[in-house]
Amino acid sequence: MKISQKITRKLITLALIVILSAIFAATTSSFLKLINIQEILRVAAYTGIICVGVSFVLISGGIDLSSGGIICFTGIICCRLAVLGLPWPLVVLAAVVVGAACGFLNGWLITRFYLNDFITTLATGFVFSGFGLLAIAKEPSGTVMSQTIRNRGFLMLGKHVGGFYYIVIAWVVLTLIAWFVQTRTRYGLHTCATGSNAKSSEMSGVNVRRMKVMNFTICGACCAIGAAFTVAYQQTAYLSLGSGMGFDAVAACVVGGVMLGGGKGDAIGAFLGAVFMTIVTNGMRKYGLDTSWQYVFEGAVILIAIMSDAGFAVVSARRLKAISEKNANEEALMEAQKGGGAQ
Amino acid sequence: MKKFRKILALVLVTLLAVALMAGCSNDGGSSADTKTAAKTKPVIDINNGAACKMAYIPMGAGQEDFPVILKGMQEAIALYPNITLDTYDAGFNPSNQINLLNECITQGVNVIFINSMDATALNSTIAKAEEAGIVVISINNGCSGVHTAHIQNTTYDAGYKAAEYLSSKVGAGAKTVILDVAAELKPTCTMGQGFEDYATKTGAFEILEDYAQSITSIEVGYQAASEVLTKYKDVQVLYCVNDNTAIGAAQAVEAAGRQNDGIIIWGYSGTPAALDAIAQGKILGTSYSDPFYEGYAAMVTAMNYVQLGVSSHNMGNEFFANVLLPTKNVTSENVIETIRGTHWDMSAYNY
Repeated sequence: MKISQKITRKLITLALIVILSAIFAATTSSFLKLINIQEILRVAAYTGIICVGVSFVLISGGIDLSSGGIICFTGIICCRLAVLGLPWPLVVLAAVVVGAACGFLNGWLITRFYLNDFITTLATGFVFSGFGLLAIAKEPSGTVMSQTIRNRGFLMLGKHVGGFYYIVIAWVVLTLIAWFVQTRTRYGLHTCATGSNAKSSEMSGVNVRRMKVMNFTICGACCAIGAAFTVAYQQTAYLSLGSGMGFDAVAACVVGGVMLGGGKGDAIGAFLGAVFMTIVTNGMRKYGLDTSWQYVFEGAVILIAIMSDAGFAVVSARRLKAISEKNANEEALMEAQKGGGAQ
Repeated sequence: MKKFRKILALVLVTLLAVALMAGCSNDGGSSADTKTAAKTKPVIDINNGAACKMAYIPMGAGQEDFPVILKGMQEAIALYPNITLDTYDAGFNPSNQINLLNECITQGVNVIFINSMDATALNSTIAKAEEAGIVVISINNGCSGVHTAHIQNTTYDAGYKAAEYLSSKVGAGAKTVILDVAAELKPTCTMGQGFEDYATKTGAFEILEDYAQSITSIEVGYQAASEVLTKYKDVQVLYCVNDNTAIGAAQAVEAAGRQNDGIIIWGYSGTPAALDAIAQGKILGTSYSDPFYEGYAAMVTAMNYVQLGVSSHNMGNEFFANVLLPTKNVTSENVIETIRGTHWDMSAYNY
């Protein structure tokens, strides 16, 4: 039975997750505890939901570093609205609309003014964090006020059912929907084509600009969903909410096989990437190592994962080259045979 | 028949109650003993070699006073090889602190020390830790939710005392800018508020602006002070709520060529660089505290609580102990004496 390249890539990440988990389980006493597994899933779900959105942007050949800013802004909006006592569907809906609007702005700026994704989203990230500072509750003196959310309906989003946090359930559902859209629909095909070769896609009738704007919008909405669940869990929002998340989500996607240049990967890969990154961080903490060594080992493990990915890409490229050469030789031989037959 | 049912129900209820009581008491004690046993958790006898696991979560490994606080903690447990103390780096991110708190719960530590990044964000996780029987002690930057104990320098008093001292050095209504901490830390780092309250009460200072900065570094202090010097040409006092900002402000004054304008700069903390700057006459003074004693006090408090088996959770979440440590004004008059007695590492300076 032949296993496709896509599946092999995921199996590699899965194997790495299993190997690492086995090592941590064998060498630490608390890794396999139920409470730890719940915690791994909760943390992975936060990164994972952002990864779902970021995977759309990455596959279409872009990059979004403004996720942290969007999480901060939408998280603060959730907090303010929840404190006002609004029902949770309205709070989440408002956050998603604002998040999507932020994403739309990113996409619009990039496609309308032909700006570089990296710099543009880095800049808009600051803008969104600034909006967060504007939106956060303040005392009359201008001092930022720490608000504790007591809206029971909204706080339910931060709880768990049957041992699974609601954020984990949302993550799994979102991943499955995104995977379906990315691999089984025309939209996914166009996204992938945009990332593989934007010019060719445009010539083939794909509205590349619209695809990009849509994908950034989806990314913004996912950030808002992640923010809503996290704010519900933490029962408050603060200005550094989401800081560093832009890079973390991109890193998790890449570890999961989503190609930085675009055209390859899907939400399942991003899912595995988020799990992998969380397990590395969680496991390393259990050794009681000095912080500097924790960082060194964490970085090294991620490097190994990326290197194995690169190695796999080289092997695949060689295999593809060999196959295409073989096909070319066969075609040449057939041509020659045809020519001989005609004579 | 009805009567029989009633008697049967009564017997069953009595049996159930007896069974429950027998199940709850492990030594056949009275119901009063059972009640006490349910309220208190087992005492950790650290003096007889009982293992005790502690964790310290600073804001980040780069937190300047972290090594000195840690030194104080380690000194307090020097005679207790059975007490282990692990440290974690939260990278100055409240979300990471929440994850690390969860990690400590998972590992089943007995005590958590924390320099909180946000007064509110950690509350639910700290409550979860306390519910798991962990003694949570916050140091300096507290949390608004109830936890077992809070150890803090008197930030408000430090600001107030500094203002009191400075008022004797400048004329009434001295034009002042407060270079304050990040907005989210203001609720717990109240030195700026102490300064402002003294100014309002006495009219000794005219506060031109309370300038909050997201990061407290020399570079940020430099930028903020440069901006302030441009904006307010007649500023007389730069009250900085931490030493790095004060040092940055001193550099900005020098860069602007205004070192002879008599602009007074004051800091908070008493870091080695600030003590050196005071000795060099670059800043007028600082509200000094030795973080070693914060660490020491926190550890001693923790050792008491684990031995007594008391935490805010089993006290009904209604009370937490507040331990305030004093600060003192350090100026050129007492800086050398302070340097000789400090636990900060002054090896980079020649004193």
